[in-house]
Amino acid sequence: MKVCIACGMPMTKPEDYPMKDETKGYCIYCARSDGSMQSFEEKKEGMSEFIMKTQGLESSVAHKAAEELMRKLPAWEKYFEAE
Amino acid sequence: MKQNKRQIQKETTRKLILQAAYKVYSNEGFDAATNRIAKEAQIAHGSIFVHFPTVEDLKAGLLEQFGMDINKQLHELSENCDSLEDILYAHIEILMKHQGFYKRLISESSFLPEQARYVYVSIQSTVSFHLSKVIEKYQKEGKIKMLPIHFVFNSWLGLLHYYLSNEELFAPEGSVLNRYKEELAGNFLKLLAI
Repeated sequence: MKVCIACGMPMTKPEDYPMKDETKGYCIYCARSDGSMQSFEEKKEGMSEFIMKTQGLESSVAHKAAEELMRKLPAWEKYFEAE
Repeated sequence: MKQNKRQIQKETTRKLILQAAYKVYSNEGFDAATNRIAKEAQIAHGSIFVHFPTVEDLKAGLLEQFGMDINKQLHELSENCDSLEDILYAHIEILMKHQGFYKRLISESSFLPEQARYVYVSIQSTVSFHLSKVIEKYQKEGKIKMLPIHFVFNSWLGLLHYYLSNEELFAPEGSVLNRYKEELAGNFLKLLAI
């Protein structure tokens, strides 16, 4: 089973892929409207907003949590290499 | 890339340690000694530290593995759920499967490294992802009250965690979630309904 390189979501059906393109390594939630993958900052912001909206976490905690979740994903490896 | 025999053996021992740690921490809590884990895994005590240099590393590795497993299971189970009721039951079913460990996770977080807090957020994010999709749909259709999604989610979690943390009061024998799942899910839906 493929897992999104940018958020870790399992991708099990064509609808999980941007524009149903199953050759992509990232999911529909990590894509922009033109099908390209979101940037590190876009994804971090989107993930933080999602955590705040659905779990109500305080903004700085949600941003830190988003960063920690992204740290383990292959798409963002280079952003953490320098640390 | 094909793994050689030595790498396979290393990976097998690592898995064995994580499985043993999961069992020991579930039964005895996160302050259980590592020699208990070595005994459970039937390996030499020192072997643990070859794979995990510190106890903190072991706990973080275990939490990470647990997070990946539970996220995968939650995703698979929730994927085919169209109703709010189905999602709530799918959530309970997964928690029942990991009840011992999850209970420790929510009640003994002070014994865990900081990293564990984010694994916890990651687990809850998978649940809130599936739950929020259905809540938004139901709210649009006028089936449930227009409460903020995080409030609905946290109320549901609060309810489950209260029963889990006080299992000995609600179900001294057997699983509290198994015993109360209909009451919890059914009445929670009634609270939300318009």
